[in-house]
Amino acid sequence: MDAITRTDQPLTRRRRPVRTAAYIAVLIAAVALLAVMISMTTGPTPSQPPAEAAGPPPGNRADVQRWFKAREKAQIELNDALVPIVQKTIGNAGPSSAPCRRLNAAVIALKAQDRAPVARIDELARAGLDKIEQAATACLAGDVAGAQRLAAEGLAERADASLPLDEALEGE
Amino acid sequence: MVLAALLLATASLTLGAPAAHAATITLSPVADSYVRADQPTANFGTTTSLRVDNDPVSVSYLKFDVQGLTAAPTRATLKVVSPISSTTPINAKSVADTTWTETGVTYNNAPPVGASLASDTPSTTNDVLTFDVTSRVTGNGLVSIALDTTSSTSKSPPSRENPTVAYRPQLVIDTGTTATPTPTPTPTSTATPAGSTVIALAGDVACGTTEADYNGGNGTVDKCRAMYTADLISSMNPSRLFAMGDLQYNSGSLTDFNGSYQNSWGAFKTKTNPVVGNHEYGTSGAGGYFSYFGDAATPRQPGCRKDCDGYYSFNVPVGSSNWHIAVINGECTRINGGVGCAVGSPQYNWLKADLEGNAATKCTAVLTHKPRWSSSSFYTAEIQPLVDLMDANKVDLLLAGHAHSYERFAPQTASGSASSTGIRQITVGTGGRDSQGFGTVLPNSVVQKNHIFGVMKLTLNATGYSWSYIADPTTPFSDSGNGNCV
Repeated sequence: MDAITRTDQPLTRRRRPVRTAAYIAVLIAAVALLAVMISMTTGPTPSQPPAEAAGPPPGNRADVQRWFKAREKAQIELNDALVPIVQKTIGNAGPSSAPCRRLNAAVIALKAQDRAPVARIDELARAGLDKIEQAATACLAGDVAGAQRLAAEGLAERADASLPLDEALEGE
Repeated sequence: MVLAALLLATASLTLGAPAAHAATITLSPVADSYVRADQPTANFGTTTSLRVDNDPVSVSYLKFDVQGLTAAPTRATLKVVSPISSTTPINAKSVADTTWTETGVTYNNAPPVGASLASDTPSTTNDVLTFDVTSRVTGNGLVSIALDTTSSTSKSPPSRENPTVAYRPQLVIDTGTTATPTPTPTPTSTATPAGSTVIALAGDVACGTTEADYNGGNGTVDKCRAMYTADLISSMNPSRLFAMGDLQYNSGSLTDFNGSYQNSWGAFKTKTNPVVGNHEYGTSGAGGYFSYFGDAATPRQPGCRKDCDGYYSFNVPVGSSNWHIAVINGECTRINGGVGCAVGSPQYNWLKADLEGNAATKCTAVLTHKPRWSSSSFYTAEIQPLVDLMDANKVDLLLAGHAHSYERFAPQTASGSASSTGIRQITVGTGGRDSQGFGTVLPNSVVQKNHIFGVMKLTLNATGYSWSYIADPTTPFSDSGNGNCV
């Protein structure tokens, strides 16, 4: 009944919404332009994880699965590159040392991987990498003992994060 | 130590499967069901209650697998709970035929009911009825017993599937003396082809005793169902049990191993080849796991009980030949200085030598907790160097757990390309804990199934193998097939 009453209003009153709509359109355009300008200066970088939404456990999410798949080769290479350091078979360290250069390249490559879609997963999967990067730096600087100590510390951090990572995938 | 001893003693008295070293053996049925005349072709094997009634005639059947006796028992008592009281007794009667099956028996094909053994009358609600069935239990083997009544008021005693463990039927056997453990496998209810060996396998098994869903070991409909998968293993009577890791949640403590795991899969401990899982490392150095299984979990390091390598190998006799089985520790960050699966690591070098040293053995399987491939994120790529070795050495089967589901892959190369001469990975993470889902299905994944509980029956022969998934009746599912060793 109310709708019928409104359509029965005089013609002169129907013209005012047209003018108002034009004002609103200009206002929306201005707001949109402002939003674009703001996003150009402060927008999210590609490496920032998106907001997390409720849903299946991370271990069942296709985007998380893709993320793990994408970093497989880098993870395997880092493990292999760490062996001479862990086993103390590195020989001479220094900027031209092949094992040091390999370790440095491997840890940089893994750290450069995109952020995981879930912040907690990302944090746990990266556990120990900073220490291992420091180990590579020490190795390139010729500090074998420092490299071994830092690598051991990094690997210990990674081991400690292992079960929490599994539990995070389970949604716990 | 005293607490552990008490827990072990309690376990032996309440175990669903035979506890041969106890003077009293308490058994759960290996099958139970009922039949009713007004539904002559219906089967009720998976329901949580039995039924006795005279109108319509309803008769319950229970089957027990008695093992561990060295002489006739002094007394055998069937215990059944009646939810309601009555003035008319329930009768326990002899059933000579033990071939009926839980999911197959109907009124039309039910075995004949024999002489009455004993009667008892439920005087209150949830009264525990006791029937002296000593005359039916004369030694080891299957025993069938029927329950009926002349009352026309139906009664529904809880069945072995009932969620309240305390209400389930039991057969309590007084041996009179302390029996000697039986070292040989119990008779199988399923014929095993000559020259072959039956293996049961699954991972992700027992809940912690303090978990809400543990429910006294009985679990719930969708969690903590290790007792049920233990029943499946018992019925299968395998030569070996490959326990595929995450055997004791949530942290693999020795206390929980001695309680929850022992009360379920512990019945098969002497025939178990365990695999260490990630949750075992919830206790420092997987100390609970290595302490519970002892040298069986670390035969390369006798006496090690914490921070052990956890990888080893053995042979399974199959007729006149062997299958070679290598167990790896897929928790790569936990061993060998944190790089336990990398090229050149001690585990890598060991596996390389082990597989190359057994190159003359035609059939080889590798056991790992975490799979290399999964249609989810429940896998690890870190074992890739070990998988490369498997591929190079013509490993036939890669068996895994970890993902709480069932997934079978077509044979594939180490890089995941389909290959008829590649490695067939089968993940069986349905041992009782709970269920997990899937993400994107991988290209060579052939079967994916979750929301199931069960174990795999793997039959090994001299030149190949066959598999058959044995599901908990409450989560029906089947998958079977066979393959040849390459």
